[in-house]
Amino acid sequence: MARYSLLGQRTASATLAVLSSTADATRPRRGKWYFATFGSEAAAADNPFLWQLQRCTTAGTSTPVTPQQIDPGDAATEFDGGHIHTVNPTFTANAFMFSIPLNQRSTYRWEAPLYGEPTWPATASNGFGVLTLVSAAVLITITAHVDEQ
Amino acid sequence: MIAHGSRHYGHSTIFDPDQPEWTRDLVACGHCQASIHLVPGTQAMVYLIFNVARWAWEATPGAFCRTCMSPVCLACHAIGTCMPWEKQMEAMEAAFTIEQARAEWGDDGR
Repeated sequence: MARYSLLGQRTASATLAVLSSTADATRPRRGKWYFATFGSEAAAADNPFLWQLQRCTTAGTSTPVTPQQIDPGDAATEFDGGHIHTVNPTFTANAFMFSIPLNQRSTYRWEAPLYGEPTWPATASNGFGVLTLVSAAVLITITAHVDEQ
Repeated sequence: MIAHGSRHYGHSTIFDPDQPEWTRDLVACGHCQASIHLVPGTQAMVYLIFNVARWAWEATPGAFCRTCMSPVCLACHAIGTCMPWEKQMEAMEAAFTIEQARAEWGDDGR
């Protein structure tokens, strides 16, 4: 098991994902999201956001993000990270891990329940994506910590 | 308020410069792993569900599966059967392993 940090950043879109992490297509391993922070670094303004973490079964098309080892002694990860999606992952209908409403001025911190961390199976390209279905077109950022099994 | 006495709770915290810090405990649905917000002090008996249409949190009676002895989200509760996420993953991984074997070795239909 090894833990990794992923950073996703984009101009918010009401349709396109901010960040995704998916199992490798040929050497899939299980992965767990256990911590994440969400927010906007744009100038303070009152805009509503609805952040959602949802299961997906493909990675979509995105700019690759290299997961960083939290412990430098760990090996590079197998799973794939991506942000600034131009084609969304294939999201599993209604498979939301959480939905959180935020004001643009707010920052959100999510810590998964122990032994209840959202886990993707060791099957090709299964994973999670983050969407902002309600959003204003400002810069937003998410940092996620993932435990690959 | 954060519940004490169990280390299994997750935490959901909103930091807003104009509001007091908002923290709620989370439990995971035993069937789909969704994080469920809890009303403080209710020991997972009352859920906080965000109503997007009203843009407001609503307190709703929670649900518990007595087969896997786990809190479950209201969507999984409505399904009415017990299928823990671990079992679902095992089934998905078994199907994937068979698909990989077929891709590697071929499948003549036997």
